[in-house]
Amino acid sequence: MIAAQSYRSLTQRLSEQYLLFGLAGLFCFTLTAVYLSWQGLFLTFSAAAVCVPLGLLLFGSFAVRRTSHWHENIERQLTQFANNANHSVAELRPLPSVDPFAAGWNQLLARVHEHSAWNGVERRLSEALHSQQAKQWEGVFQSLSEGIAICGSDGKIIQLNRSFATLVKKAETKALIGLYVTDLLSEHVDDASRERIAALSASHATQVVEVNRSSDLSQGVWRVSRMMQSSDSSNPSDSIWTIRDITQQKLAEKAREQFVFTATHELRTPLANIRAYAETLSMAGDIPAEQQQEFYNTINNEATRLARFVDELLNISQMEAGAITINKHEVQLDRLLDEILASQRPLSDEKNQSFDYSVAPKLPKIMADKDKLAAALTNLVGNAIKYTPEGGKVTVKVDADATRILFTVEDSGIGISAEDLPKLCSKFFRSSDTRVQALVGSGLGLAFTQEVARLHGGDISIRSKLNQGSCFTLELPIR
Amino acid sequence: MTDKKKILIAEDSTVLGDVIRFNLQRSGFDVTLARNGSIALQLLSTEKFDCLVTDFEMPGMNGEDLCDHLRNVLNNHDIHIVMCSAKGMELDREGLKARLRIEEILFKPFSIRDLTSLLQKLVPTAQQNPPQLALST
Repeated sequence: MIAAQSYRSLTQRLSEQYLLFGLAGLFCFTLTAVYLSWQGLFLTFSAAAVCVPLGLLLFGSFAVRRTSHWHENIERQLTQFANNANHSVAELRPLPSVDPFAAGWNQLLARVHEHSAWNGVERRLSEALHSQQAKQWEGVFQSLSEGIAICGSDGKIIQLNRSFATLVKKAETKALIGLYVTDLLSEHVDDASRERIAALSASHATQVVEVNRSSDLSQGVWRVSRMMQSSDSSNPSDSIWTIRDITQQKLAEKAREQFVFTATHELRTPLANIRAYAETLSMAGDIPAEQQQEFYNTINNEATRLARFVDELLNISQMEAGAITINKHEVQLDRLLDEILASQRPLSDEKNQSFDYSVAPKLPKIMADKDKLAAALTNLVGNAIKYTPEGGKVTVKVDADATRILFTVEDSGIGISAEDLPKLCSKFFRSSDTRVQALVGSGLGLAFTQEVARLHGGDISIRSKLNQGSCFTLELPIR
Repeated sequence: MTDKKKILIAEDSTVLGDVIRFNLQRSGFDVTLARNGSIALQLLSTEKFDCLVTDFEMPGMNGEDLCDHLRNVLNNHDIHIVMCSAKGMELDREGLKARLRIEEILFKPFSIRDLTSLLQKLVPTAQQNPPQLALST
């Protein structure tokens, strides 16, 4: 570091050197002139009068040149730097000198180089970070379950994720870039939905529509939304199209609605009977006692049916809330089975079905929730009778080994299609088969039965062939 | 007894069908009971009835299809129709009444007394007949 007091500027140094040389020259010149005049050498004096200033000029020029050498170097570098836009800071060179000016320049250069090195590191870090973030966002974009396509102002796809391609049944996302999004969506929806997509595309506002893939709800329902990047209607901008598959939600809504209708029907029917018989008894006082008794019995039976249905509703609501619990006690299976058969066999007899019942010679006692197990088994037997036409066959078989007990209910009924089989135990599921639709049912019986089996540590298995019959096996552990 | 008005009941529930028939017979009507829509349609195409009391929900041919056939295929425009249903608000009551010219749609549980007086208004009997105590088919 150069102290402020000791530092002398270039001008100061140049003028001091010139002044020093000038004074020394003047002194020498005066001394020489006096000496030569004393000696009477006028000619020599004249020669000295030319040579001394010439020598001084040459020496002064050399001294100035030497003093300003580094300044010239700096000036040249700065001129090149100023005149050439491509000239980098790294090309500015430090000076091999301890001259204060050169030292200052060197220090300045060192600072500039240090600064630009930091800048470079920062830029490289930021670029790395940016590319990492871009990769993360790309990952998020691709992993979304919703199909997303970004379209240009002309409606052509610029970018899309895998879910979008999957929804429109294409394997490659790249193949869809450049296609019109409305054309692509229209290929997969019904006529009415095609119009909704066209209307969506024509509008400038952000909108959401529901579109159906076909008139059959289970074929698929999409919620399609289009969001404009800019809200300026006069200047068409990029748009973001989002597709969400809401088929399951729609099916569940429909099933729930259907269940409410069914439940209402199931409640109204016994109520209608109770009211009709009670009214009849109250209106007509002259009914023979025997017939009166028959009417009272009917009212009693219908009230029992109603109570049973209310119990079923309670079970269902508990199951819906995920709050179904079981209380295991020792259960006498033969007695339980007798009760179930006593309630179900008359229904089978009414349809002239052949009803076979076989049971292992000695059934073990099992730990189970008697009421829920009875409801589950009643469901299986009841379904077999319900979905087997008049004159058909229903077989109930109970087997046991050391660890488990098997309840098998087989029928020669309408059977279940391979397509319906996996969905059979889903809540609210009812087959679209017209023979099933013609009969009342909540679509919850099998779901309940399966849940009861699961809570007992058992399982339910189903074999069936359409139009040939079904076989349901409920397996429970003994302990 | 020849002036008795003929009523056909189409009801798949024997419990309810029996009690309706019991009451209508006591009110002086000549009542026939059909266990489903197809049997009812067969009876309607061969016999003349003054009124049809039909359930809406029946396996196979339901009440709506039965009335549609009756009005548009059998071209029977004279018969009075009363429908009963265990459905609720989901049924387009007014639309159904207008389209198939149904006199009334009763929601279960309906009053047997109301049904009887409605039928007496629609197809007045010449005289009130003594009670017919028959419940067996």
